[in-house]
Amino acid sequence: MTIDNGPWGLELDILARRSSVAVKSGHLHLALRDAIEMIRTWPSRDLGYVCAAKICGIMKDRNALEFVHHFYMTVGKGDDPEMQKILKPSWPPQETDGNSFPKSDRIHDPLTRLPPELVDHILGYLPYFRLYRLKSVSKSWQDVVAASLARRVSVDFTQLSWPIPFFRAQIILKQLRRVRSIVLCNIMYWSVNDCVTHVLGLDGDSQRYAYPDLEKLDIQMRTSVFRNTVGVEIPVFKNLKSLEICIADSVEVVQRLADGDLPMLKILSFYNRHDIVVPDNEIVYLNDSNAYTPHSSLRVLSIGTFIFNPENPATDYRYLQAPQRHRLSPRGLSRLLQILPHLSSLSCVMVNTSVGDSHFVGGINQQCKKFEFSKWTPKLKIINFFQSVIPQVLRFTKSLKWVDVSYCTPITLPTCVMQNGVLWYADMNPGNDLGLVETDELSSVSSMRLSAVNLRGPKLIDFVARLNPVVLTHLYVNSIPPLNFGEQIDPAEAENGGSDFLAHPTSYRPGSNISYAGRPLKLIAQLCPNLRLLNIANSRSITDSTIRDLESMKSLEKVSIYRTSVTAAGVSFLLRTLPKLLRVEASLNEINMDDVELREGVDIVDGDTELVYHR
Amino acid sequence: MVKLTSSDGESFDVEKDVAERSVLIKNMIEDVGDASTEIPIPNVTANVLKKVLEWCEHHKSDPIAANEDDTDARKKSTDIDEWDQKFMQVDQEMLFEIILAANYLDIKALLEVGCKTVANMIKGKTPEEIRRTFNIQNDFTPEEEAQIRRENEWAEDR
Repeated sequence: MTIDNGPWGLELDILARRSSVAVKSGHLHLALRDAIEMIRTWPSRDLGYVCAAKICGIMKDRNALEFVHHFYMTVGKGDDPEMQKILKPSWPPQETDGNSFPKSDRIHDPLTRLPPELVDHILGYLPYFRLYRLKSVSKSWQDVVAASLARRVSVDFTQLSWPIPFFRAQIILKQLRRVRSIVLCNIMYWSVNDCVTHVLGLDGDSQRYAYPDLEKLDIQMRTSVFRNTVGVEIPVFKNLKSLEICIADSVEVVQRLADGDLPMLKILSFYNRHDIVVPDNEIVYLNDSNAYTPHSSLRVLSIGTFIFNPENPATDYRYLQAPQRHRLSPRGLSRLLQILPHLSSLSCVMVNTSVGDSHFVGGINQQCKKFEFSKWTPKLKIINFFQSVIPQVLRFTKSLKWVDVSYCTPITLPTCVMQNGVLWYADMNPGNDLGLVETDELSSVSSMRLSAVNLRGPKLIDFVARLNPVVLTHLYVNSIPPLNFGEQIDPAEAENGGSDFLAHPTSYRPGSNISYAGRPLKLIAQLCPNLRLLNIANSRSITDSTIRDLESMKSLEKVSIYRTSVTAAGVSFLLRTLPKLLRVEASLNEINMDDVELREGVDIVDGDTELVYHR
Repeated sequence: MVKLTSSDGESFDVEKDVAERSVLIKNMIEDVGDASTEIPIPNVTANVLKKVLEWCEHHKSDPIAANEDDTDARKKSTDIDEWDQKFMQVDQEMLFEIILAANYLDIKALLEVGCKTVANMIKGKTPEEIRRTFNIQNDFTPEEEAQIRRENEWAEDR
């Protein structure tokens, strides 16, 4: 005998009993939750449908009843005459007219007094699901709120902090035919895939639930929505401009892109627990390379890590809480880039290694030495390879504006060191530098993030010297080398240079007149005179005396000097000498702020906590 | 200086940059090409126009928002700055008149402050409290009210 256990280890009849107890004690929503769970777990048994239908009847909720009926007919057996009687069919439910505006002569009532567009504006400040409560204020409010809800162009289910049955979501979305933006998350009781396909109406009868105007779709749960619809015309996505999705298998999305099924898509972000898989034989374009022309107009691609806003890439990116980030091999990435000729922003974690690693894409045996972006994506402007293991040579086009290679290493063997819960790639192969690019390819870069890269002393200076000083405004050279991250450096070691890059007593000769005199900050100040942001945090060798080398950088607006040896005197010096300064990031717990001569209009912020200092 | 005339015939002499907080007036001045002409504001009464101009005077040196497409940032917060909060402490009829005037005159920032003020009056209140705030009569029968509550109960926080 097998025990028929549900998701909470409860048997069907126990769930049913619990549900009926909940009904008797008036907790209808708890009862309904159990009933839905019964349908979900045992779709072929009648009991769940009966319970759900009875509860909907008690709640006098016709819409809900109709949905239970709908799923009894489509998912369940649908042949029990008793059930048919309980579930009186009257499908589909009435729709709300989005334009009706009731008349009222009450004066002091904002919703009836003001025209619909202003009502929408006011209600726009309130969370979507809060509006339902307003319906019970008065009859005119009931109509006005329903009409305003129907005019809403965006709905965000993450605003719901409590779970709702998924047919609720379907009712809501049915009322939102003109919706342009949907955020779905895993709060609805149903299997995730069913939820997405039902809610978005991708299950066969796509015309009925299609959202022809949908421009932005954000599915914050793991799903394979694309796979279910292979071979099916999907009108839903024809106008889609932005898609954010946690997918079961990247092939689905890549194939959609390759097929030109997402012709308007400009921003794509996907993430997943597993690896990006771009196998040889599954993607059509790879087998038919001669005839293939890319249809994609994708501009921004973010895989697993960050979403980049091309308008303001320095400040406005958002970390997606993916459990483990995607890693792409250069080969997998190059396949992807082949179909994206218009790409201007790329953010992903590339792992270039020859070691047989399960994270690997496409089962490569050879390590990539040179990666040519210029070949596939000539319009690339923004690149973020945060924490990647990158090929020794990256070839870009000259349009590159923003580069983030923080925490990157071009190493042969990924010798990893776990430290403070963070995985670092140790510098096991000092012969390999971050041999990034040729000089002219960096000539338009305005923001360079080199945090914790494997470039030491003169090599770093050499690299910075290759950047164009006229356009360069943002430079991050903090935490170099990475193994010093978060560590206190022995003062004696710092005195001798130690492993801190800014203390390397090496001479530097880039072929210019600049001579390296053991003062790397002075050199950076000379090489990058137009910097507006400089991050030199996490370098204990920087002291009150060396920080004076920044004196000549009159355009500086933001300086990060947290976890350095700079004291109140050094901060005061910066405040005194840098006229355009707006923000200083320091370690507030290390600096005696009473000694700092504060300046109006300049924020002193703690580098770790982002707390702004107030005297 | 610009001369504005309200719907009830009262005239106001206003500095040009104050009046130009209103996109409508700004466009009218540009169209006429002569700032000395009298500009009629037919939809706004004198007491409302006076109040609106008081707001424009206080906010005359504010930077004008460059991008209108900042709706996301807007939605995040219903915070209103202190001066505006005090300014909006008027009776409800005046509040709605100001919103309507700001809409008509196309003064985005003022419209926003007005709508936020109303949204804050609604926010976090029970239907009964909302009725009291706006003096709305409950025209549901007890049965109807219970029914509509049941229908929307799922959207309540639990």
